[in-house]
Amino acid sequence: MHYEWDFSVVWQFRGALLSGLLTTLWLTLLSAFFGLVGGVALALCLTNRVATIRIPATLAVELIRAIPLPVALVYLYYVGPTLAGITLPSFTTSVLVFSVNFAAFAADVFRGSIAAIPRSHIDAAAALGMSRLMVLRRVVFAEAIRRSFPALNALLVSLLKLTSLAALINTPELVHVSGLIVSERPRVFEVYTAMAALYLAVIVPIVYLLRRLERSRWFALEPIGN
Amino acid sequence: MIQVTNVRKSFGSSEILCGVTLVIQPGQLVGIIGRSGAGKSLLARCITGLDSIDSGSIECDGLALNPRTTRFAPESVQVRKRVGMVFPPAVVAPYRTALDLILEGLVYVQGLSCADAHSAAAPWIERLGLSAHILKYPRQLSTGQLARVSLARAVVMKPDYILCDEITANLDPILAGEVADIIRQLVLDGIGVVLITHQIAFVRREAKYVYYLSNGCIAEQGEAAKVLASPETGDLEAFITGVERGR
Amino acid sequence: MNSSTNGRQARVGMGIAILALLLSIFALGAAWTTVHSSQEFQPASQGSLKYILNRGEIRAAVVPIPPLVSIDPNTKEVSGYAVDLLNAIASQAKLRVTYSVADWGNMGTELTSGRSDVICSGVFLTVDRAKEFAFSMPYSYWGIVAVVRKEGGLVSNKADLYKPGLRVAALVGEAGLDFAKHTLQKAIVMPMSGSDLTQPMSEVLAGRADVAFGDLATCKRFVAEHSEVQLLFEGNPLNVFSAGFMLRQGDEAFRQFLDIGLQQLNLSGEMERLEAKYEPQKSWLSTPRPWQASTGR
Repeated sequence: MHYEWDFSVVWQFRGALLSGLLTTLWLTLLSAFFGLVGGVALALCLTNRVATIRIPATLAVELIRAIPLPVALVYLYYVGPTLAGITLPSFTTSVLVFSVNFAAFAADVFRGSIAAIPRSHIDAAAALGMSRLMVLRRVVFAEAIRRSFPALNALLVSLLKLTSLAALINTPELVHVSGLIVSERPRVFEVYTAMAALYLAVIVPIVYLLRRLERSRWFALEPIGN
Repeated sequence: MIQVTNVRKSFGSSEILCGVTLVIQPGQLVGIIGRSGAGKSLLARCITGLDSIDSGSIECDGLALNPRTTRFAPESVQVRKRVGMVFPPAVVAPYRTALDLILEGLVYVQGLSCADAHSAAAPWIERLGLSAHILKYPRQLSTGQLARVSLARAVVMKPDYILCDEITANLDPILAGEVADIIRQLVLDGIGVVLITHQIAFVRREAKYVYYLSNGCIAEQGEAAKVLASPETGDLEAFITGVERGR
Repeated sequence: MNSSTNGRQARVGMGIAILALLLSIFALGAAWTTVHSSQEFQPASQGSLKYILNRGEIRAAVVPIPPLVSIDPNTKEVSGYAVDLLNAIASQAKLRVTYSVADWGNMGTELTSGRSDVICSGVFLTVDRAKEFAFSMPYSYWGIVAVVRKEGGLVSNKADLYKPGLRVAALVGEAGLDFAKHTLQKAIVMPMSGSDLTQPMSEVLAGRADVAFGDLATCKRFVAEHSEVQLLFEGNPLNVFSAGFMLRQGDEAFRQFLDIGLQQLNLSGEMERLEAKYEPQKSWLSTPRPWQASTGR
């Protein structure tokens, strides 16, 4: 099938594409940050011995994971004003939804990691006379982070791609901006090629960096040193 | 003194420790021997408060552990500051260097600065032949080196008592001998040492008292030299014969 | 432990510093972005005009469809004929207009949720839409035309549209799809769901459809960009639809306000003057003045 490519549209709107990409990255960073913090808090609830904390937390996590992101975005953005009179800007709505979603998945990762910590590691620390808090810090957190790191990396990369759903509520991230460009100059193939290239240009280095960190002595479960 | 009185411990419907009574004095070496699964390691964990007991009592220099005492209760934590425990070599956090592991207690429990902790631990690091290995991670260490790291980790804390759970199991005879020297020195320094081991010969030679644990009960006890030379029960006799045959 | 504990302390310190920095940036960002949300909430069920006059502001959602509505992707500036009309009406009443971006998929929800008072775009007045929404009087009339491949195309005239098995692409909710479903009984109609008006034309370009239907402006823009395709029925459209502002159903006072505004612009000649800005890409029929015959294009 004959097609004449014309990438002048990409050059013409390079500023818009870059600004969309920056918004995507910022959205990802904020959502991941708050998602991680929320995930840790949720994980502590999920692994709590007290049933009145553990059970509602478990239900909340399952509910959040069950609701598709597009539904959550549209619901909060459009139904929020109708039901609760709360009108949030699209960017804030996106950060909120992605953070909560990320927190739920991260909590499950943390919970699994905490459960996987050998009891003997905790015993060895406790045997030194460490308090519960110190054991939590020196063993549980330290080891849970290391065990969770690979899975969290995967979640982070997924999140970066999932932020494209924020276009549904007109958040000015990369996919939304690409839509505006196509409205002005309908060269879908070129614009989407540029979009794919931008995502690649960002994701590949991030994945590489995260892999390096995974093997580093700060995050590796079994570092091998120099 | 550590006084263990009629301690019972069950897991589910299985009673693992059935009324154990023993005494550990400072400056004494006590051996606890028995077959695998007899409850030796569990007894050590109960003495240090890592596992709570179902009935009976454990007293350590005025600190009491009773069935209501949980793992991180203040009494349990205080007991563990006095009673060090040397774990089998596999039980170390794989993401900490040997130096981290050795100084961990000094820095985070005793509150020493890094420099002070290093100074305090340096003689033991030297003595255990770990100087060239302290910046390595567990994956880079041999089992013997890991065993010495576990020992160093406990002894640098200067505890009043040390429980050693099979610390010579993975050591060659020369290394095992060096560790035995260290244990001897600890006893001379006034530390009460409990050795959970299959090394009958060492216990016979060095220990003051021995307790033979069988199915969670103290089947035989007494002065090590006497009991191990002439066991009263057929069970202990069979155990000693079995260990020496397997050597 | 010297190097590793000092290193650990440095890491903890850096972590806390990064945390504090991110928190403060987010707090600033959140404050900046939410400043617009602290406006008086307007229940969607109530008439807009009262709230608009209290606020002094019309909240309009725009859906890009050049030249009626254009959004500069670089500057995000909103412009176009429909925007000019709304601005002109608002300025007569000394109101300002704030614009937010929507798309064909969520423009209805923009209204029903109360986030916007009006959809300012080239929304065709159709019976289906009239079931849920209200419309101002039309300010333009649009022909439905077709896009086909230049080489190997199966369609060159209206009779060709009735070929059995012809693959026809059109966007769901758009007038071209209604025409295809009701008129072309033997065609394979491919409804596209999405917000991109050029999506059916891309199907033709990709070879998955033989003909795509759309409004004249969108089809003209697409054909201008892609030499592989051509426009059909420009002078003799398949159907004609009117376009106006879309509002919430029952929002009568505001609708009358807009109708009177549009009438005034038309009668005074201001509408004609604004339209002239968009020659030659103007692709619609103008709203005639009562004493004039149809102005044509």
